[in-house]
Amino acid sequence: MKLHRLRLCYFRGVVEREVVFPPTGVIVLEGANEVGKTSMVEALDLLLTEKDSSTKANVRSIKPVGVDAGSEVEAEFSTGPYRLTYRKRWHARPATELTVHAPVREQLTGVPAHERVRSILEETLDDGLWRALRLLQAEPLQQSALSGSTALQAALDTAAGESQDPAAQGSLVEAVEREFLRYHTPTGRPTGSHAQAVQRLSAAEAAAEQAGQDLQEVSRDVDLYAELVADLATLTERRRSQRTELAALEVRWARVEQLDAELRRRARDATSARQLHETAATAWQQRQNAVAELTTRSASRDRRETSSVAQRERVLALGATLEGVEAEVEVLRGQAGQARRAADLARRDAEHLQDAEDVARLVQRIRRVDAALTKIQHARRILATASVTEEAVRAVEAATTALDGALARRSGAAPQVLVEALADVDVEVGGDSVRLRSGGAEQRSAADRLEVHLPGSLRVTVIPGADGHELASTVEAARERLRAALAATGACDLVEARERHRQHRDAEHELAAAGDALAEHLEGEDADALRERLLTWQERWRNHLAGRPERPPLPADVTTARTAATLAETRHAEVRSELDTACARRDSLREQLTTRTVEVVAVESALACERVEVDRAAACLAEVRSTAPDAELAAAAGSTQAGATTAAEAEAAAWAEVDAGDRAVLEVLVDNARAAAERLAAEWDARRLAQARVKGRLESFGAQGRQDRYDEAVTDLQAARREHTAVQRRARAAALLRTVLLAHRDASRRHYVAPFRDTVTALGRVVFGSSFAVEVDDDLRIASRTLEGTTVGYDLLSTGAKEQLAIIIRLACASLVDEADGVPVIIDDALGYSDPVRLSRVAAVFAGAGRTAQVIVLTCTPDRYRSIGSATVVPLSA
Amino acid sequence: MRFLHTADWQLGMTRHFLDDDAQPRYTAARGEAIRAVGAVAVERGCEFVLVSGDVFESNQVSPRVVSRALEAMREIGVPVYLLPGNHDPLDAASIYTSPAFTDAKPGNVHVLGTAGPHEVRPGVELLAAPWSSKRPLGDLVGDVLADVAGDGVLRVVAGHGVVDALSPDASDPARIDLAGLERALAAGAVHYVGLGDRHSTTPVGASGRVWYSGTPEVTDYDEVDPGNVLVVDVTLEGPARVTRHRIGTWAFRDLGADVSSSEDVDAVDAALEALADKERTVVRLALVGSLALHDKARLDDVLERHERLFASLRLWDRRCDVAVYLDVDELGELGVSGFAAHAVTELAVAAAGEGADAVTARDALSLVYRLSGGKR
Repeated sequence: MKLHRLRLCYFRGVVEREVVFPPTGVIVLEGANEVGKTSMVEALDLLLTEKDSSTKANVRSIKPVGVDAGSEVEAEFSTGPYRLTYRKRWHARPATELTVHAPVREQLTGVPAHERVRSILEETLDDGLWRALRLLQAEPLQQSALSGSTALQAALDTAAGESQDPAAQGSLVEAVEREFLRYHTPTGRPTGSHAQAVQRLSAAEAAAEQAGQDLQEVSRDVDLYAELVADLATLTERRRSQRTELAALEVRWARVEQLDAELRRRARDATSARQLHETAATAWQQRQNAVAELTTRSASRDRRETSSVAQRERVLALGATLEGVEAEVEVLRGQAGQARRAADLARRDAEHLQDAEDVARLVQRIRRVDAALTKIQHARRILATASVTEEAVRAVEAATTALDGALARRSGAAPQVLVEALADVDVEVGGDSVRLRSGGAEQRSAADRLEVHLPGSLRVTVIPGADGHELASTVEAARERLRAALAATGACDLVEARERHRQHRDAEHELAAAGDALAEHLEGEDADALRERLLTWQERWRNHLAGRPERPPLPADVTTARTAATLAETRHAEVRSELDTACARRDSLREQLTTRTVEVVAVESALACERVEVDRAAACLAEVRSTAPDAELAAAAGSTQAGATTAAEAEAAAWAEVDAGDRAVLEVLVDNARAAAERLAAEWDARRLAQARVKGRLESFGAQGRQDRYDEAVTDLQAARREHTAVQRRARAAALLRTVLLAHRDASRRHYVAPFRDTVTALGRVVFGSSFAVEVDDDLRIASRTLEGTTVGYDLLSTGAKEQLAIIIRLACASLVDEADGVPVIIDDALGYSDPVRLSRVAAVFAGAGRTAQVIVLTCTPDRYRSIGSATVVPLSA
Repeated sequence: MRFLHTADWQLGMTRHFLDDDAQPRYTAARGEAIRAVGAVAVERGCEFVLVSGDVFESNQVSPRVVSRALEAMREIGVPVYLLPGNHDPLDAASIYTSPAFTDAKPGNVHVLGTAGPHEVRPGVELLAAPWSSKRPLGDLVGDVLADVAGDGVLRVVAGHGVVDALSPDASDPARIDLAGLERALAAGAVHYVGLGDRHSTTPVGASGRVWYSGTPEVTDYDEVDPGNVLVVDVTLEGPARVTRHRIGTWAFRDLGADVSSSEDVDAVDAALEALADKERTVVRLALVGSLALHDKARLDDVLERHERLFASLRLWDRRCDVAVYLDVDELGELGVSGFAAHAVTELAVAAAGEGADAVTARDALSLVYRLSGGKR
């Protein structure tokens, strides 16, 4: 197919556009985005496929917005031997017009025009190739199914040296595939009518099998019935003869049984005679035994009585001995009591006398303690009132010395006032009323202001100077200190203070001495406790004296008392020992007496029983003897023995009459014949029953028409088998044909893969360099690309490389396919991923392909295709 | 004395190769045969009708078959004597003792259920040798002959089974001793022997009085002369006169042909075309030879076309072997080229061989023909 001209009117955004295409070479349609480049391709597709009346979505979508005019596409193109102009208008006033220019001029409109174009295209256009040789922007970079293209196959076949009608082959493969799929799933299992035939056959086989078995069942029952009839006849005959045989045996057996009865009677007689004898003999024997036993027992009883009396006497003697010992024990026990009391008194006397000495010592101790305590109290009183320490005394001494000094200094410095009485006069000096005798003088030191007043007449005031004041205050201070020191001691002056200090020191010494004495006498004890103890001891002492018997008199001293106590203890121990010995003897005797008494009681009770038994046996014997005297029993035993012997002889005679061997045989025969009769009867019954059952079954089968059912089943089976065979044959034929055909197609493909690969490789080397190689699979897809010795799977290639390969493949196809079969290669704005170097090389490939094929490139970036020297560039605008 | 001798009605028989359309018509035809027998009997003034065994195909046919048969027999009017044969023996499952039979049996129908003489009227007896099991252990007919002698009673033997003269199987204890029969005939003890079992009308021996009447309606391809009943005139003295009347309406045909050319295919077409009463004709084809692919396709077309007309038209698989070959021109005609041509050639080689694989290859070739060349 070659496109010569394409015109669009009111197609999406395009109002009107016409492009004329050269028959070969690269045509670059360039225009901005949205200008409607892809619409060109779409328009051509719609023109060729959609009727003018179509209301499909893809047709509706081309209607321009806001325009009522119909969308129109007109194309002029050649395909095969045809050259035609074809126009369609959709939406408003739909129309289809076709003008075929060559080989024969035709003009058609409407649906016939559409149909005509479809048939022309079907005849001449390789639809697979038509789609495969496009590379559209909107579609992913997948490899097209080139193997569907018959034109390419034809080209490849030609290249591979074969020639064929590719359309026919393609359609044959499709038809065979359809035929195969009528009978098989894609994985080769039966499906559709094939599967149904298999199922029907299997069901029919089962049904026929069942019906056959049903029929067999009838046949088996018929045979069984016949067998039963025959068996019954045989059995009837056998029963008849067997009955005769049995009757004869029964007669013989009756005779045997008569004899048996006689034998049994005699045996019974013999048995009873023997039993009679045995009874009498037993009675006689028992009587003899009873007499003997009575004798034995009487002797035994007598022996036991003798021994019992002796034992009783021994017990009595033992009792007497025990009484003697018990009296002795009592006496000894009294003596032991006395000895114990005497010993106690002697001991307490000794203790009492010892106590008296202790009390005297204790009284002495308490007295000394009390003296010490008195001293301590005294010393403490002194210490409480005169507690003048040595330091306090020294302080007083120092203050006195200081005052004396101060006074001396003041005295030295102070004006001395000498009042000399010229007459007796009463004068006041320094506040003191002094009576002076004439001539007398009163000297005073005026350390301080000093007034001399002569009442009523004169007042002299001596005022010391500045030094005098200072010295006076010093004295005052010293005096004050002394006063304070004295106040601390409580004394009036230094001498008293010293006296008080001495008294204090003496009291301390006395306290210490008294404390030591107290501690010595207390010996760690409390004074009150000592006094308490004294009271207790005195009480005890008085009590002992009060409670003591007069005799023996209280010993004179402790030593005597202790000696007496020791003697009394010894005496007590001796008596005690004697008592213990007597008690032991008594206990032993008591034990012996108990044992012996128990023995005597046991012997006596046994003896009592024996006496009762002997009495009873004697009474019994007397009783039976009264009814059956010994002589009678002895006689009976003798007489029955004779009867038993006679009866036994009669039984033996009867046994001799019966032939034991013959009888055993006859018995076996009779038993066997009877059992046989029963068995035959049972067998006969069983067969009769079985016969009735079979008859019943057969009657029921008869009404079922099993033959008809079997025939139907077999007929159905045969039909199913015929159908199955036929379907199977068709299915096998389809499978075989498909297998063979596909095997040859694959082989053939392997042939034409080579030219395809060679062409792709040749073009690829232009773009990728001389190391470029590809691997092509049977479906003409690129499996991998090899460059510089590195092989990469197609899917793992970069987008740019994929895109370049996609273009190379399409251009390779275009250059392979015969010019008459070829279709335009349409590249919609590819190579966006390619670098400039590769771009220029791809351009070379384009140029090469353009020599024989129509290559239409749609682009908005014409620079990409600038390097295609021979390209025809058509600018597009809306 | 004139009576009608027939046998082997095989009522209830099913032919598996008949389809749903043909089988009911065939069954109906076997029922119609009874009425046809009656018509002949009445028209020819027969005293009675003797059916010498295998009245029913099996003892297990459905009660419906029994009822319809008895109704048809009732319509005959004259007495009808039924002899139990090997297909319907008088065993425990016998149809003759079933309620379906006994309850509906019309007065003119009699079962020859016991071995020995059955008086038809004074001076005329049927000497019956009924089968009481499917495997008798002796010559049943011979047994009944032992008890009769030439005593002036006209006796017709009713027997069923193969006559020793016609059966090579000496180990079969049930074969009928022909010599014994002929001796009895010669002695005047019996005067006609009406046999059943063989479906073709067949006289046996030289006496002219021993006959297989054959089945009144064909049942198999190998039957030489089926579809007849015999009207028998017999007297104490003199020969018997046996007249055959055709009443059968169906035909079973074996057709064999060598098909090795286009002309042979035409011949098969013509042969089938020539057969009359196609809807009551069952054809079994035995075709051998080898045909070009397009001739084979044509043969298939011819058979398919005729198959619609006949009651049954089948290939006898065991006897069929039509090889298919392919010539170079044919490949061109098919428009097959390239790898498809290689594939077809490979199939053609396989098709020229033998066995199941060759058959599949032939089918595959036919399929190619249909899918590509055949449609042009």
